[in-house]
Amino acid sequence: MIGRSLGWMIAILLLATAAWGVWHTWGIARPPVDAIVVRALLREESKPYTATACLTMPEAKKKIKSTVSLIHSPEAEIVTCPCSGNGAAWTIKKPDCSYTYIPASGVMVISRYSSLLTADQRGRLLLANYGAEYKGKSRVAGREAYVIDLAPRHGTSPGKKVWIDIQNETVLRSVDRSSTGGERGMEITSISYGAPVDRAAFTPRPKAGTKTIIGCEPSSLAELSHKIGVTITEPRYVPSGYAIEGRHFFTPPCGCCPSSAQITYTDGLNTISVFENRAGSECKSGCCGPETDKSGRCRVACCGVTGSGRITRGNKKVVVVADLPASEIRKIAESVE
Amino acid sequence: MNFRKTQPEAADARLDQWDESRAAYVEAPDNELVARTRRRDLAAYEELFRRHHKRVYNIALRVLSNEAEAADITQDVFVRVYDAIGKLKSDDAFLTWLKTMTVNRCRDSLRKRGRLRIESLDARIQQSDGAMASIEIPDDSNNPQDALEKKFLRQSVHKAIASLSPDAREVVTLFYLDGADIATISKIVGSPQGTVKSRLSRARNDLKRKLRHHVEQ
Amino acid sequence: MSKCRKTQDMLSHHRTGLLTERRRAEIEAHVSECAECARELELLDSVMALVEDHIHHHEPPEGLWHGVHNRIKDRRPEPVAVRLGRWIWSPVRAAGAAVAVLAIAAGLYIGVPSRQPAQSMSAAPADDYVRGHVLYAGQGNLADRTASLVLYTASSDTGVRNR
Repeated sequence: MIGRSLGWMIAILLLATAAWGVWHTWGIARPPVDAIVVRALLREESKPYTATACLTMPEAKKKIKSTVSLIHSPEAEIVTCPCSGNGAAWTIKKPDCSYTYIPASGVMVISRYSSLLTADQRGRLLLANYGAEYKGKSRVAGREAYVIDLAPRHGTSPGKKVWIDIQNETVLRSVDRSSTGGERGMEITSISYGAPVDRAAFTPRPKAGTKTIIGCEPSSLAELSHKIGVTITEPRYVPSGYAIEGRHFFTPPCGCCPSSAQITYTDGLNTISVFENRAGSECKSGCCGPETDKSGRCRVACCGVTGSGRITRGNKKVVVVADLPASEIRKIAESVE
Repeated sequence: MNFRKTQPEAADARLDQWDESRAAYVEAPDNELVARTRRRDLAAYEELFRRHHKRVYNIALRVLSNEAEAADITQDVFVRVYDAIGKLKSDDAFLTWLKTMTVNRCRDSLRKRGRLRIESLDARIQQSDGAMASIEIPDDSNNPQDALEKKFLRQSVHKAIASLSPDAREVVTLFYLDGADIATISKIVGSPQGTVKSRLSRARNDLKRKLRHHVEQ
Repeated sequence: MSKCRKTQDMLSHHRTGLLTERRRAEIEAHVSECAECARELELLDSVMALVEDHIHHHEPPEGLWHGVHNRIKDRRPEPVAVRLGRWIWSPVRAAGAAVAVLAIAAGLYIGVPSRQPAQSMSAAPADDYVRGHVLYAGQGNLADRTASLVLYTASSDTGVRNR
C-alpha cells in the first residue's frame, strides 16, 4: 500500500518536473519575436554589413531572378543591382532622402520623404496589424536565424515571412506574399559583418549626362492643390489598419505622366498610394515603352505585386495603387471627393 | 495611436450629418422616399439605394456572371434612376422600374461584349482582376459536413443557371432569386407573359437536365 | 413509350401553366397511371426546390454608394437655355405632328442637356504610377529595398526615352 502510494507520488513528481522543464525551456527558448522583428525591419540598431542577395519575384508568366549587393551602415544604405543591361542600377537610402539611379533611362531620381509617422509608430502599427509567430530556427547564408511569420490579424492585406539573424538581427531572408497569391522572395547568399564601411559608397555618382529629377517632395494638401490646379482631398475610406503616412508632390521620372499628388497610407508593412491630378491630363501611351512584349508578356515587373485602379470624375483623376483586392482599390478610389 | 481606418475630420462631420438625416428615412415607405428623391433629397435616395442595391447587384451578377461588371451596372443604374426619376409615372412602380433598368443595362452590357450565349456549360464567375475563379459561397452552417454539402449544391445551382441563355437567366433570376411573379417579370423584361412562361419552362427543363443527379436516389 | 416521352417533354410546361385545360388534364391522368412519368414530375419538382433553396444572394462590394453619390454630385447643372427648351417643347408635343417637328427643331437649336459620361473604374496603366508607388514603398523604414530596386529597374528597363 505504502509502496503503491510512493510509486504514485514519484510518478506525479516526475511528470511535474517534466512539465516544468518543458514550460521553462520553451519560455526561455521562445524568443521575444515582436521586438526582434520590428528591430530587424527597422535596421536602426544593426551592425554595418556587406552582403549579396538573390531575389525572385512574379512576372506575368515566369519568375524573374536578380542578384543584388547591399552595403549597410546605421546612417545609410546602398543596394546595387546589375540587373540592367546598361550598367548597374543603385538606390542609396539616407535618413531624409533617397537617390535611385536607373541607367537604362539615364535618370537619377531624388526622393525626399517626410513621414507623418515615426519609426516607433510604424513598428507599433506593424504589430497592431500583424501577428508575429515564431516558427523555429533555420540556417541562411551560414547564419543561424529565427523564422518568424507575420500574418494579418484582420482584413485582406498580404503578410510576410522573415528569417532573422539570431546574433545580429538582420533580415537574411524574406518572403512577401501578394494579395493575388503570388510571392516575392529575397535571400541573402553571403554576408559579412563588422568590416568598416567606406562612407564614399553612399555618395551618389551617376554617369555623366544623367538627368536628375526630384521625384517626390513632401507637401501639404493646400500646396498640392495649388501646384496641380485641382482640389486635392484625402480618401474617405482606407482599409482597416491603415494610417496616413505622407503627402507628396510626385513627378514621374519617365516623363510620360503628369505630376500628381501622392497620398500614402501604411499598415506597418504594406503601402497604399493614392495619386490625384487633373482630369484630362493623361499619360502618353507607349512613351515608357510597350507594356507587353511580342508574346504578350507584361514587361512591367510590378504586374504580379500590385493592383491599380483609375477613376475619373468631374475635374479630377484618381489612381490608386496597392497590393489589395480590386474591390478595395475601387472603394478607396471612389471615396475621394 | 489609433490604427483604425483614417478619415479627415471634415469627412467625419459629413458622415455624422448623413447618419442623422438617414435615421429619419429608415422607416419611410419607398414611395415617400421616391417623392423626396424627385425633390433632390439625396439622403432619401441613399436610403432607397441601401434597400435595393443588393437586389440590383444580384440580378446583374446572375445575368452577367461578372462581379466587377455587376458592381458597375449597379452604380450606373442608380445614377440613371436618379437622373430620370422625374419620368417615373407612379411612385409605387419604382421597384419594377429599377429592375427594368437593371435588365436593360445588363442587355446593353452583353451586347457590347459581343456574345449572347454562354460558351461553356462549366461557366465560372470572372473576378474583377480578370482571373477566372469559382464564386465564393460563404458557409453559414455550424456543421462542417453540412456546410460543405450546402456549398457544393449552391455552386452547382449557380453553375447551372450561369450556363443558361441570357434570356433564360433573366427570367430564372427574377423568378427564383427576386421572387417576382410572371406578370411583373413580363413588365420588366418587356415581353408578353406567354413568352416569359415559355422561357421559364425551357429553363426549368434545362435545369432539370443539369441538376437531376443531385436529387436522384 | 412515345406517350411517355411526349408527356415528359410537357411536364415543365405543365408546371409553368402554359398548357390548356384539356392538355393539363391529359398529363395529370397519364402521370397518375405511369410510374416513370410520375417520377420525372417529382424529379422536376425536386430540382426546382433545389434551385429555390440554394439560389444565393451575394453581398455586393461595400462602398458602392460612394461612387453613386459622387457621380450624382459631379453632374453639372443644365444650362438655362436647355431647361427653357424643354419647357417650350413639352406642351407643344401634345398639339400634333407638325408642331412637334417644329418643337424638335427648336429643341435641337437650343441644345441638348449636357451630361457627364458614366465613369467606372478602369485598370490604371502599369507605368509611372506603379513605379512611383514601388519607389515610395521601397524607401520606408520597414521596406525591403532590394526588392523595390529590382522591381523599379525591371519596369524601367524597356528602352525608355529620356525626356
